[in-house]
Amino acid sequence: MHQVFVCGGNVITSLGFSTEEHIDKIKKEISGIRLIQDKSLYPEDFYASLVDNQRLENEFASLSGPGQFTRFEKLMILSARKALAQNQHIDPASEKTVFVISSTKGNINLLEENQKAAFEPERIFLWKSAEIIARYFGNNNKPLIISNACISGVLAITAASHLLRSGLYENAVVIGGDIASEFVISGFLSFKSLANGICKPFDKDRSGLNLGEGAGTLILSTKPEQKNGLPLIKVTGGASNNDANHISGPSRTGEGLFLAITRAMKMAQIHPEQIDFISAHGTATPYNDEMESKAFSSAGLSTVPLNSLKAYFGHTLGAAGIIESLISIYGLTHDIIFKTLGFNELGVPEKITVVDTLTAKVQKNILKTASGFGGSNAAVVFAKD
Amino acid sequence: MYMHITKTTYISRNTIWQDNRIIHQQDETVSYQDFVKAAFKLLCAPYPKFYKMDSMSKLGYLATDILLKDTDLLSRYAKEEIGLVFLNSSSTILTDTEHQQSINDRSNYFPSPAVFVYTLPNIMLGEICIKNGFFGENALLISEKFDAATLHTQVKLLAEVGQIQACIAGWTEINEHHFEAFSMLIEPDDKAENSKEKCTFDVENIQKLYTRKY
Repeated sequence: MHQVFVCGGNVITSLGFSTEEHIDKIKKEISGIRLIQDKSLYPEDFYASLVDNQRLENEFASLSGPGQFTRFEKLMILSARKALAQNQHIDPASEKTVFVISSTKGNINLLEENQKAAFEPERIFLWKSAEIIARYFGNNNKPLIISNACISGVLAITAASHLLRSGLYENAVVIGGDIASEFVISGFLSFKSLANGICKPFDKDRSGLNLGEGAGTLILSTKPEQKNGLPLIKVTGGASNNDANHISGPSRTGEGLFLAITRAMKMAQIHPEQIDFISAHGTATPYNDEMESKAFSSAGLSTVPLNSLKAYFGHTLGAAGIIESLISIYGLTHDIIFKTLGFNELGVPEKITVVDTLTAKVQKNILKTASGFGGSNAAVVFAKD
Repeated sequence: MYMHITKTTYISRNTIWQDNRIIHQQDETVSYQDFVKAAFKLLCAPYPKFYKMDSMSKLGYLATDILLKDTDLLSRYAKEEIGLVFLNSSSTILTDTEHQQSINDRSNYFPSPAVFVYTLPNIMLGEICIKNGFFGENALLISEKFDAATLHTQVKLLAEVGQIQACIAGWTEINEHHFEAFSMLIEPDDKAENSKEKCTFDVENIQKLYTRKY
């Protein structure tokens, strides 16, 4: 079995187009969530985190290469280009490199009447856009495509790490993304799960989530290159578990998430007291955060510092697990923990330790979790080498 | 880890095969909705939630419920050791279209949570877990075509890292032109039951079982 290392990555959301821009704004407690008054996205105003479209178009136009791309594909390609630019030792076109794509709905906006004529009909399917993304980088391997609701990103990292651990590939370019579309916004609004303001993860006054759009790229390799004397980070364990309870509501007991956490830790061969930080899902819906508190508490993690990054750039769906992992890996590398923006007073039934100020803490093992529709839960462990 | 395929189910052209045997068939002029309802009534135990599922979840439900007939996996495996790995090509395009139609017209705007939730293809895995009490790994993967190699790799890797013992894996595709489901039960050597279908879990056998003359 090979060891799997994180080689870095890129994050694109409302906060910026690089991991560094995100770190800078998160340290300054800046949120990219705004009141959106765009009738083409939804008939009424709503709060969300949207990527700067002009900048996306400008930066994408500066890339060389032919082809027509959708907004979703531009985000994914731009993110991967930026991540690969920082990792010249990874050859994206190599037969030893696999692309792993994570998205809940990909090009779903092509279903809209006024979008239908712009691209070929099969472009609506994720296999088509994933193929286009991989081919853009000259990669001819079949991409692995994960579409497993809100746990897609964490699942994609875990699945990619399994592929590398077994020796099937040496490198994985894991790209997650989703765009804001009327399709998704109207759906979440019909569930009445959106907050009327910036969301408040784990807070007693939390009222719902903010949708976000974005893309994140995490590059994994069995052959890492040390950079600037920074420590190497490994993916040491990962698991997913269904909670077999309800398709649109989290389990009341948190058993599925508890199982994913304990099985990811078991694979990483560590005990709860060895976890130094948790990057929670923390959507700020009443039931989700309640469920997470139960799972963390049952797993013996009540006193482990924990944050949710959702108030900075919303819930980025298929990108969330990758974006939030990248920011937490930055924290692991530099021994800092970012504040849970929006959190003021604990409002979940079980004790958890929500980080409410930028904190310096030496970390060795960190846990990233996600939970989503369909009763899905996932956890992944990153460790400093 | 040495694993076996112990059972299969195949559904296509208004016909259901359990292993290599036709157990239900209707004329191809019968609609999908009528076909699955009739099959469910005939072959499955009563389960009222079935009727509120979307077309994809109904297909996955049938393909696993028939596969697991007379098999009590929970007596042999821990609930968190039973995984689900499924592929499809069109995600939930029929339900996506239904949701899109509810928001196309601003003067007749009626997005529904009961429809929207089924626009996530992994909801089908959730329905299967709820019905059977499975708490294991879930992976919903997208592939243009049925892909024996991807199914084999993904199941094998989950077993190798110790996250699954048994797995139900397959393909559930439904779009405006056709539907097709293939499911198989995969079990480890030391616990696999003897069955007519029993064969080594490898790419060649998966391909053979999927393409044999149905």
